[in-house]
Amino acid sequence: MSDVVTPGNLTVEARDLSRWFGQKVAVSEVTCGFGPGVTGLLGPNGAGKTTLLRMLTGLVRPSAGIVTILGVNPRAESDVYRKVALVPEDEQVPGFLTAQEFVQFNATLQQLGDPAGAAARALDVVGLADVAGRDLSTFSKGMRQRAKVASALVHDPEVLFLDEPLNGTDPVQRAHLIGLFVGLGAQGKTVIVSSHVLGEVERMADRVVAMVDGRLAGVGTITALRNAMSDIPRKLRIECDQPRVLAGALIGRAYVGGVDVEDSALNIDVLDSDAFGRELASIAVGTEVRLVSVEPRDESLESTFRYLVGGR
Amino acid sequence: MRSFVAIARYTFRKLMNRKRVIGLMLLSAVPAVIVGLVGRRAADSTEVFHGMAVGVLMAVVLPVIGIVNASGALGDERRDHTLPYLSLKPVARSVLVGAALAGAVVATLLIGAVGVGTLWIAGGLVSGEWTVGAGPALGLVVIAFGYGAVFLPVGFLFKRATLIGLLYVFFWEAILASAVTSLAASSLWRIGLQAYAATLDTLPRDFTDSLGNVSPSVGSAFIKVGVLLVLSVALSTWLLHVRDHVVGNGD
Repeated sequence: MSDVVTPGNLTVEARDLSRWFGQKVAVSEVTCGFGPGVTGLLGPNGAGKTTLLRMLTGLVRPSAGIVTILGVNPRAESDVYRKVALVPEDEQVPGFLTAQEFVQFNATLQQLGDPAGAAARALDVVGLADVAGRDLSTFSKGMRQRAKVASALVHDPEVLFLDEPLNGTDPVQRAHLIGLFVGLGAQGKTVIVSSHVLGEVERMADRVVAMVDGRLAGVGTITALRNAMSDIPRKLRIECDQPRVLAGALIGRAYVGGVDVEDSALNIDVLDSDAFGRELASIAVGTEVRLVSVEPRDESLESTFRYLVGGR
Repeated sequence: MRSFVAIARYTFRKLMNRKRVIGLMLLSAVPAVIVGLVGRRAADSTEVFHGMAVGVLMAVVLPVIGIVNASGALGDERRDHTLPYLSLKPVARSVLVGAALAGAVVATLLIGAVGVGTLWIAGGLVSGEWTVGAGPALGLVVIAFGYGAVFLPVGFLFKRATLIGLLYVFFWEAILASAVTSLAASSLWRIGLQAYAATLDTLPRDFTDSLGNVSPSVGSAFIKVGVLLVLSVALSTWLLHVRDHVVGNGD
């Protein structure tokens, strides 16, 4: 798996992608690419994630722009779906089918050699083997979700789109599915996960694509996104043996925005990370303060995302 | 071929929803009940049979069954957001459309067969003439394909496709096409009647009135339906290329 998406390993690409419904612009001029590994597609409700995913998969026609999956336009060449799968957000499933029939139906359309066997294996992977003979209409939301995942995985796709795949699942199932998706990413599959639950995405994704109001708000690893926000003070926590002494030495320096002292640590807002990084060690030596640790307080996906959506 | 059969079977099973099927089957049996009740007392029970077959079964019951099934075949999938389970597959759009149409037509044939079969039995019992059912059976085949062809793309396009179909049946076909002879050719069930009429030696008054300027002919009826099928598959395939496969704004 590659950590960096380069033009050479792009499997899914969107160029100047827009979609409007009447007067409403759902997605506006989005250009981004996806490659092997797990990418989180983030955004608050109404950000345009589902519309973007639908355009990427070929379900919805773009008003403008181009989509390619594995180099082809999915709406023009249905053969690409041999290597692509979608787990849609919508709860609706064909309730008149059993789980086995539902997954086997996809295996048949994928022209697999042994659809029944492939379906049984996929259901086993998501932990539904015991209820394979039950109608989907009798399934809970979480079970339906897992049946949809089994159906999507039955043909071992290269590119997997997941729209809120963990909806309705219990914590055990969620952990299992997250492990499954991370494993697929590690195998070099392109896994694109849309979610508004940041904690889940943080556990799965190597990289995020953030959307706000139909536009791209940021693309990259969480650290890279945070680093790119040079206008926002970086919040750090420094544990040391003399926090008051260190605070006194730091206050007044140009790259320090604010300092809050605790018993054995200080919280500091840093305006210029590079300058701070260069000088901290010498300040500590000069003041004879023993540093224990320096930790970022806002490099979580949640805080980064909050900055991106404007709640700075 | 495996994909075609799988999608046709899927569509058929979806349309054979228990409640809906029971309702449509009861509806389709209404003409037989009327023939059974009225036929014995009528001077000419064969005329009663043909009157029910044309005026109720072919003009109302079979079109309604055909419209409900055809408009639901792809349209319900699109509005229920289950079309991705069919369309995001390595299957040619034309195969998908053809298979969905086949599933809808088979569902209409099966439900309609209850109406034709019960009417046939009732007609045979009251008239003693057991060949009377051949014409309605032929009409059922033509009607199932005809309404299927027209209302498959209508269902894909319009949320209220069934209502549009009922307006077509009760306003256009029942009133306008009956009143204006030159419009009879625009009526789908009259294509079925065209085939049905070709099986009879002499046409009852109901037939000549309903047919208008359309001449009885089995071959002509099947050619018309064949053209409609080709157009329907072409149009629906094109719609799958140019229209969204799910309805709604998403997020």
